[in-house]
Amino acid sequence: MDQNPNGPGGVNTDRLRDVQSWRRSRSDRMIAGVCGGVGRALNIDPVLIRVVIAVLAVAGGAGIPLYIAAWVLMPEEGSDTSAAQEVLGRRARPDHPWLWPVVVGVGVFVAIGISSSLKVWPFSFPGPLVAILLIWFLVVRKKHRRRGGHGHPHRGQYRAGVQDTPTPAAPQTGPSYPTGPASSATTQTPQDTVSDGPVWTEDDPLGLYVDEPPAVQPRMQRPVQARRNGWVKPVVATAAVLAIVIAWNTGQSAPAAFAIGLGTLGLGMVAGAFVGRTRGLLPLGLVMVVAIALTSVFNSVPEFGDKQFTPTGNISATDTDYRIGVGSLKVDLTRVRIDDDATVRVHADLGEIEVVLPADMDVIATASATSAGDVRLLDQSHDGHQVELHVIDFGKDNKLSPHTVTLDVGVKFGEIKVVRR
Amino acid sequence: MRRPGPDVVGVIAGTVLAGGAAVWILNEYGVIETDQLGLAAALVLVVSGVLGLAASGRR
Repeated sequence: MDQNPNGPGGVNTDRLRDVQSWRRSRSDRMIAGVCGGVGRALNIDPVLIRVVIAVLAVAGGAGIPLYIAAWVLMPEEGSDTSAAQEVLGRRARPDHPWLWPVVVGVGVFVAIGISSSLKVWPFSFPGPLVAILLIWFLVVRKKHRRRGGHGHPHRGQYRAGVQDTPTPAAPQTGPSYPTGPASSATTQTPQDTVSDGPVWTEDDPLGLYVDEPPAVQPRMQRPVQARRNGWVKPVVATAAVLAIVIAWNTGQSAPAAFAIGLGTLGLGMVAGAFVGRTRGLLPLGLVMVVAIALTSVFNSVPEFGDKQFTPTGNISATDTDYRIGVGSLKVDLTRVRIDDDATVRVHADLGEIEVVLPADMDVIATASATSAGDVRLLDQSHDGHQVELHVIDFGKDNKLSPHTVTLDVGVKFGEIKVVRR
Repeated sequence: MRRPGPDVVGVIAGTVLAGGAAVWILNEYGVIETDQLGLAAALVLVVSGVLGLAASGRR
């Protein structure tokens, strides 16, 4: 049984850094034992874990992919093989560095896509914010692991005569090194030569130095510094989150709320750097930058793919809206009949749009790339930031027809091409 | 035991993040035009460099 260094009532932070050791519970389960296993691993009441997962599932939907991922990746109690490893074999590595970023990325995507807000009176929390905090938590956890949670117990320590002292090519006088051609059994890597027992080298075949202090210090000792204030980062991060929540509740758009939070975080990092270490907040800031970019481009779940429309018959102002999230969109208007004035709207968030007009259709056309793009509208073209072109064109016959089509084409990022057949 | 100096990386990163957010907000509300974004970004980097140098001088 693992001992909790934080006492019987506290969260076991050591297990928090060792996700690979978590097991799904067989006895305490509602669905697959994920919450029971996580609660047992962290010494937390599983009910709390279930509440968090349920809240994440309802507010943004991130809880669902997270639960499924944990189900697939966590072995069951009494087993060392997860469901993913049973299907994929040893190719499925639960400790793969990309695994959790991908899982959390899916959670963020779902959260942003379903785009909700968590109502906790009197505030409502933007759905993606929960996922962002989760990412930050995982980044911090990974950083702690990299600092030495699971490495070799002697890694980085001085090993006399093995790594730091080059071995001279002197004739061997020691008693125990085998000679002869190298083989897999006798070839030793530097890691292999590190052991807990005495280390014999050609310089000291009797191993007399073993009890002596090392002659050379492995690294320069830095002057002892006062302990950094550990409260700075949580305070700054909390201030940034509060700024986002307040901005969100005052009616700011999602990207504006994240930008306000990012500004608060940056100022907090600068001020906090004089009383503690704040560089660890940089990943949270980068995640906010990504959130600003994503929420600027997408207002809802983007629809991916390539679409082509060739409407026939009469077009009217009510059923002539063509839209796509990410991909290419082609609208061919060469087969439509114009019995009345009509408006055709063709829009995409990210991608390319092509609109084909009949040779003699009269159009009042507007084409715009609201963020950036390349716009070609009949005989005009322009590219760059915030491009907008307007054209009134009577077609190749250059005669005014009784009816006109108002064409509105737009992308946020991408390419627009409006041509005549 | 000596008092630790400021976290220079934190100062620089915080300045870049705060400056970037400020530029984004000012552009969003029309104070900074799109064609001035390059100059604004350069100013943010210069300010962050100056603050980083100042902070490293206090170490």
